[in-house]
Amino acid sequence: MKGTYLGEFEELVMLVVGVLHPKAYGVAIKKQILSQTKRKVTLSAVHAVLHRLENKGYLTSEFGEATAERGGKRKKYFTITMAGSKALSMAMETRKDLWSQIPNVALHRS
Amino acid sequence: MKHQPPSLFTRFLRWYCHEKYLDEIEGDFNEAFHENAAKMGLFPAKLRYALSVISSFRPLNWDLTKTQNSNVMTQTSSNIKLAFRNLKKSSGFSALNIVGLAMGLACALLIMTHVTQELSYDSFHSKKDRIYRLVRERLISGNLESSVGQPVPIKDFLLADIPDIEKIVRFYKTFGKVPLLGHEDKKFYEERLFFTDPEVFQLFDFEMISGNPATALSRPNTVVLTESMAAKYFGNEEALGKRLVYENGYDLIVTGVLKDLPANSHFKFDFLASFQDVEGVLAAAGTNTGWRDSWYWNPSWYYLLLAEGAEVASVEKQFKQFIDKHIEGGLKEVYQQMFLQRLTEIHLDSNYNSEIETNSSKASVYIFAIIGIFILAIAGINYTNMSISNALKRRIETGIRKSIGATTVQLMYLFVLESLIHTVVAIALALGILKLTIPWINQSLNLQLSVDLTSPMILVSLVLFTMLMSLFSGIYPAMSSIARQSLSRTGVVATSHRKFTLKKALVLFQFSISGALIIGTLIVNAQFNFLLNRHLGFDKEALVYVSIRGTEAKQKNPSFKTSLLSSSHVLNVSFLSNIVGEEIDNRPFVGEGTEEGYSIPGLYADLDLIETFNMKFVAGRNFDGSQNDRRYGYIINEKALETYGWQSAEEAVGKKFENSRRLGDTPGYVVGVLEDFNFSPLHAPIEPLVILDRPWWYSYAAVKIRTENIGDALKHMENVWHDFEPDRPMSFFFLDQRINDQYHSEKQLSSLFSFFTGLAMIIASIGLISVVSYSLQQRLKEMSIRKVLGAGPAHIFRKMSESYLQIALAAALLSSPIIYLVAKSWLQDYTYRIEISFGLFVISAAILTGLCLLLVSTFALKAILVNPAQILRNE
Repeated sequence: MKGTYLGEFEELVMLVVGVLHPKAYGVAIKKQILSQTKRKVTLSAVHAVLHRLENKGYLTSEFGEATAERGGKRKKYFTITMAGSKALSMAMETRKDLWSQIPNVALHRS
Repeated sequence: MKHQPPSLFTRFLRWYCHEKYLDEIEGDFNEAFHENAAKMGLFPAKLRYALSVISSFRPLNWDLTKTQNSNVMTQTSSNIKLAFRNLKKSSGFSALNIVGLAMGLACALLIMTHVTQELSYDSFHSKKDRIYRLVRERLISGNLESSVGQPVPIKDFLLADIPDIEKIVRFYKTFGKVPLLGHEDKKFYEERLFFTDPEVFQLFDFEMISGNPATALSRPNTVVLTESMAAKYFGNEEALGKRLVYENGYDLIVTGVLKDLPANSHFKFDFLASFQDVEGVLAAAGTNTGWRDSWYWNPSWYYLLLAEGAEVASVEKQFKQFIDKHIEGGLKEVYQQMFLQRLTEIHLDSNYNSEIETNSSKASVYIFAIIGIFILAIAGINYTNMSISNALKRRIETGIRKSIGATTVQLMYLFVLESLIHTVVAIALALGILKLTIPWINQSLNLQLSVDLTSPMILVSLVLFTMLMSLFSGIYPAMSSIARQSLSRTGVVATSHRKFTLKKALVLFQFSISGALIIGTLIVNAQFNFLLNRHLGFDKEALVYVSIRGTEAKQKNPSFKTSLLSSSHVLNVSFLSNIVGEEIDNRPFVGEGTEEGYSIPGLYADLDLIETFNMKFVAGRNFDGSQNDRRYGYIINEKALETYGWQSAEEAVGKKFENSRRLGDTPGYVVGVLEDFNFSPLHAPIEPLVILDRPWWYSYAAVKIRTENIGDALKHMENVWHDFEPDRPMSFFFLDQRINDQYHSEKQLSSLFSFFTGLAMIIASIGLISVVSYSLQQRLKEMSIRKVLGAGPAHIFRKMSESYLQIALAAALLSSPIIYLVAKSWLQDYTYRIEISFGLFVISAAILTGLCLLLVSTFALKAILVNPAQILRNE
C-alpha cells in the first residue's frame, strides 16, 4: 500500500517518539536512539525524518518551552497521530505475520 | 551561557532555514552545542555545530520564498523564456548562425589541438632541459652543412674528454636497408627498429609495461618493443623472454615491453635493441666496415645528457678542444664544428642533414594558428552581424521596454543572455562535430590528433570565448538600440541605402580572408603538383627498387641479374648503392688539379644505370663493365665540373680522379660526363655527383619493368628472388612513389589548406546569406516602390546586388598583396618553384564574386518576383 510504508529509520524514530511521549523532541530523540540502539545519528537526520513523517501525517507537533541553553528557542514536541499509530501497528503486523511463516529450519534453529 | 555557537554558521542557518523549522532546529543545535561544550570542550562542540548546520542544508529545510520571489530570478526566467521565443521565431537563421559558429569553433579547437601538440613535442621527458642532440658541421662540396648523423665510435672519447656530459645515448638504424625481423615463421621488414645504448631509459621517459628499464638493454642480443609490436609478433602470449631473429641470423631476446609512443615524440620507434655488441649487429646487417676506426661513416644519432648545471657554451667550447685533439688531416673537413641542439627544439626548429624523421616547422605552426584565428573571426563576425540585424529587427520591442522604464543594464542583460544561450548551444554542437569528425580528419589529413576536451587550455579558451561572444554580440545591439531614438522610427520605410555600414565592413573582412585563403590554396597546390610532375632528368616511372644488402641476391648479383632479365617483363636491371631522387651519401673525391679532395655525393652503380634510368651523356662514355673500369673508372655530372675547375665536359674526360682525399700513385680517371639530374629532393639545387662501380656497396637492384602487366612482372621478380633467398620475403618499392612521398609535408599542407579554405568559405557564405537576407527584408518596401514606379527586373537586381559585388571585388583586391608576400616567402625555401602568376588572383577574384553573385541573386530574385501590392498593403 503506497503511503503507509515506513522506512526502517522512520519506524525507529516513530517508536522512540512513542517511548518519549509526550516529551519527544530532536535532542531527546537523538539521545534515546543512541542509548537504546547504540546508533549514532545526526540531529539533521533526525530532523529530516521528523519533518517527513509530519508531512505524511504520522506525527504532529507543538511548540514547548524555551530554555536559556537553547538560546531562547522553543522545543518542538512530536506526538504520534492516529494515522501514525496505524502505520506503526501495520508494520508490526506485517513482521509478525512474516515471522510466523518462516519455518524454523530456515533460521537455523533446531 | 558563557559560550556561543559560531555565529557565521548560525547566520547561515537562519538564512537558509524555513521559519517553520528554525526554532526547533536552531534550538536543538544550541542545546546539543552546550552539552557538547561541557562534555568535550569548546572546539569540538563548535565543529559539530558547524557540521550539523551544513548537513541540515537540505531542500526540505530551505525557505524557497526568499529566492523565488526575488526580482532577479523573475527577470532571468522571463528573459530566458524570451530568448527561447526569439530563437524559435527566427529558427532558420538562428540555426544557420549557430551552425556557422559551431563550425568555426570546431575548426579553431582542432587547430588549437594541433598547435598545442606541435608545441609539446618531446616535453614529456622529465630530463628534457638537460637533453641535447649532437650536431656536426661539415664541409660538403665546399659548402658548410650541418648533420645530426654521427660516427659510432666517438661516444667513449666524448665521455672521457668532457666531464660535463653525464651520459650519451646513441641510436643506430640499420644502414642502407630496412631490416628483416622474425619470430618463428612470422617475418616482417621493420622500418622503426633502432639499436641503442642501455642508458636510453635513464634519459628518456618511455613508459615500460613489463621488464626492468635499468637492465633491459644492458646485455647484448636484447630487445625492447612496444605493446602493439608485441601483439603483432606474439599475440596474447607473454612477450618477455621470447626470441626475435634480426636479419635471419642475429638473435634478440625480448627483455621489456613499452607503451606505444605518444604522437608528440620527434622520433618514433617500434623496437629498441641493444647496441652493446656493435660488431655483431653490423656484421648481421652486412655492413661491417671496421667501424671502430671509422670516424667518417656517420650512421648514428647522439643524445647527450648534460650534468646538472653544465653550460651549453662551455660544453661546445670543449668540443673545439676535442676536435683539435682527435681530428687530423682530411677528416677535419667533416669536423668543422660540433654543437648542441635542445631536445625540445628539434621538432619545430631542426632541418639538418640525416634527420630521423622529417620535422615540422614553426612557420607552419604559425600559419595554422593564424588560419584558426581567422576562421574563428569569420564565424564570430557572422554571429555579431546576426545579432546586429536582430537588434534592429527588435527596435519596437526594445523601444517599448525602454519607454516603460527598462535601464541600459537590463536591456544589455537580455541581449547578453540570449547570445549566451546561442554560444552554449554552438559550443555543444562544436564539440559534437569534433568528436564525430576527428577520426576522419586524422585519416584524410594524415594527422594524429586527439582532442582532450577536459584539458585546461581548451576549457579556459571555451569559457573565454563564451564570455567574449556574449559580450560583443550582446553589448553592441543593446547599445545601438539604446542610442536610437527608439520609438520614433518604428513605422518608417527602412531604406538602409546608407553608405558603408559596420556590417558591410565585417563582410569585407570575411571575404578578404576567404580570398587570401583561396589564393594560398591555389599556390600551395600548384607548387605541390609542380614538385610531383617536374621531370627530374631521369625516368622514375616503372622502376622497382629491390633491397639486396646482406642477401644471396647481392652475393651472386650477376646471375641474379641474368635471371631477372630472363623474362620479357623486365627491361633492365641495375645494381646501385642509393635511392636516386632521395639522398646520396657524401664521400671524399679528389680530382686532377686540386690539392685536397672534396666530400661530394658518390653513387656506386653498375654500367646498366644509364640505360635503366635513361640518363644522358654530355661527353665520354659509359662504364664498359671491365675490371679495369670497376677499379679506375669514374663518371661525373656537369655540376662536378665546376667543383674541380674543369672548363668543359670534353676537357674533363680522361682527367685523373680518385675516391680518396689525395691522389695516390695509381689514380683512376674520368670516363664520362652526365647531364645534370635531380638526385635529391627538389628543395635543394643539383649538387655535384660522382658515379663509380664498386659491387661491395650495392644496396639495391633497380628493375625497370614493362608497365603493361605489372602484376606478372612482380610475380616473376618474386620467383627469381626466392631462388636466391628462400627464407626472406622480397622487400621492394616503386621509385616514383618513394620520390613523391618525400613531398608529404607539402601534400599535408595542401590538403589542410584546401580543407580550411573550404570551411572558411562556407562560414563566410553563411554570413553573407544572413546579411543579404536581412537587407532584403529591410528593402522589400523600397524595391516594391521602385517596381510600382516602373523599375524592371534588371534594375532591381542591380540595386540589390551591386554593393555586395563591390565588396567581393574589394576583398579580392585587398587580400592579394598580403597573400602574395606570404606565398613568396614560403616559396623561397624551394629551389624549384612555381612563379606566382597573375591568373591565380583572377581565379580567386572570380570565385569570390561568383560565390557572392550566386548567394545574392537568390535573394535578388525574391525582390524581383515579389508582388508590390502585398508588401505595400501592410503600410
